[in-house]
This record gives sequence, C-alpha cells and structure tokens, in this order.
Amino acid sequence: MRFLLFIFVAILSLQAKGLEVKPVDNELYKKECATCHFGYQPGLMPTQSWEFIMKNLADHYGTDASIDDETNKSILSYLLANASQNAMNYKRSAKITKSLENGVLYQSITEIPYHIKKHKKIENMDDYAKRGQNSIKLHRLS
Amino acid sequence: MKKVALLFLCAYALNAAQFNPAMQGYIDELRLEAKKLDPNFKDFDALRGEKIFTTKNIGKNSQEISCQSCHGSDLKKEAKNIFTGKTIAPLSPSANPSRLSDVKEVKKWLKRNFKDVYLREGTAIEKGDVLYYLIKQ
Repeated sequence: MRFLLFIFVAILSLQAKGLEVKPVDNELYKKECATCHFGYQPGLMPTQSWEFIMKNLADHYGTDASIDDETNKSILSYLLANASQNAMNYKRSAKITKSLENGVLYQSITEIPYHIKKHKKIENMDDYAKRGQNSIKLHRLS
Repeated sequence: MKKVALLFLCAYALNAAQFNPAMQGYIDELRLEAKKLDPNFKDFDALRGEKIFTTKNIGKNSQEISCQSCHGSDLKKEAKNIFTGKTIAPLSPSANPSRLSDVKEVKKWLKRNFKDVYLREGTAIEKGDVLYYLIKQ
C-alpha cells in the first residue's frame, strides 16, 4: 500500500515537473497584452528581448501599442522575472535560453533559434491558415 | 402619468449621454487645449466627431480604413478587428457601460487608434469631437 502511494506521488510530481512553459499568471499582462493578441508566456524569450519590446511599444510590429509609464514598468518587471533565463526549471525555457547566441538581440519570438529549429518542418504557414488552423492552437502550451 | 413617464425618459436620455466626473475632467482638459489651438473654439461637436469616425483614410499597413473598419457601423454590436480577427466588444456606452468610463483606457485607445487610421495622433479638438459623438451612441 505504502509502495502504491509512493508511485502515485512520484507520478504526480513528474507531471508537475512536466510543465513546459510557465503559464501566464499576471492579470495586468493579460489585460494590456492579451486583449489584442495571444498572451505569449514570458518564458518564451530572454530578458533582453522583453526589454526591447517594452521600450518600443509605440511601434509594436507596425502597430502603436504604447501604454503609460506606470503600466509599462509593472508589466516589464513581470516579464523580466519570468523571462526564459529566469525560468530554467521549465523545459522549453531552458532550451530556448541555451539556444541563444551571445550578444544577439532577438526582437521577436520567431527569431529565437530554438523556435526556428522546432518549426523547420512547417514549410508553409499559409497551409495552416487555409485549413483554418491557428498556429498557436497547435501548441497546447498552457 | 404620461408626463412623468416622459420626464423619466428625458432624464434617462440625458443621463445616457453624460460623461462620468473623471471623464468630464478629461473633456475639460481637452477643452483648454482646444482653446489654445483655436482661440475661436466654442465646444466639441458630435457631428464633426462622426465624420472623423466614419471617414476612410490610408492607414496602417497602407490599408484604406476608418474607425468603423474595426468597430463596425453599428456600435451597439460586437465587431471584428480587421487586422487581428479578434472580437471587439461594443463601443457604444449604452450597450457596453464600461466604454468611455476609464480615462486611462480612453487616452490609450484614442492615441493608438488615431495612429492606426490617420497615421498621426488626434488633436485635442478631434479627440473631444469623437468623444462627443461616441457618448451619444
């Protein structure tokens, strides 16, 4: 009986460890960022990338997404605390961090070497669009 | 009895088209700025605001758009952002009371959306005009 319980607990803890990226857990981030697009987990990019993004919100991939300084600071501190190199206990964040080249400023998730490597097999994103599939839905990250 | 009902209806109609105190403060700020821009400025105008809201312009991504492209022509209904496909809750304060209630939100979106459609920030006069139009919707 005790052995069974041990196995049960071991499986449970394995599952807990199996979380690949830390889910988003900040309400302000959800409100200010995820109302316009998918709420990308902070652990998908390193601190330098998040700093770049939050500094350049007035031109956010071609869109003005500027916010007031106070909100910006608060969101940035959440992003930095959970950025990939600060979330190394999550499998994907660790792999992302290890894939980075020294001295390179990655300006979007799609520029991160690990993500590029992992998406090599997807030759044509338009095929997904035609089938009405959203690339994010294919991940089931959180 | 009919008179009372009418009175209530009028009161309701007036109430529906009024800014809350914080928003009124923002409108007053805009009015001061507007007077600086144009010494002859009297007040904001909902009709001018409607024109700004409905006029098409070559905006973001070189697309010809107006505010209605994303907010829809019936502001009491949900609409779809033509760039992201995301659903946008109704902009009309009568259909969606959270609209035009938070100065911070209003400032944020006015700045962003003027840039989306007109590729520049709106002037104080233009912002006030649009808000006068929207509060009546």
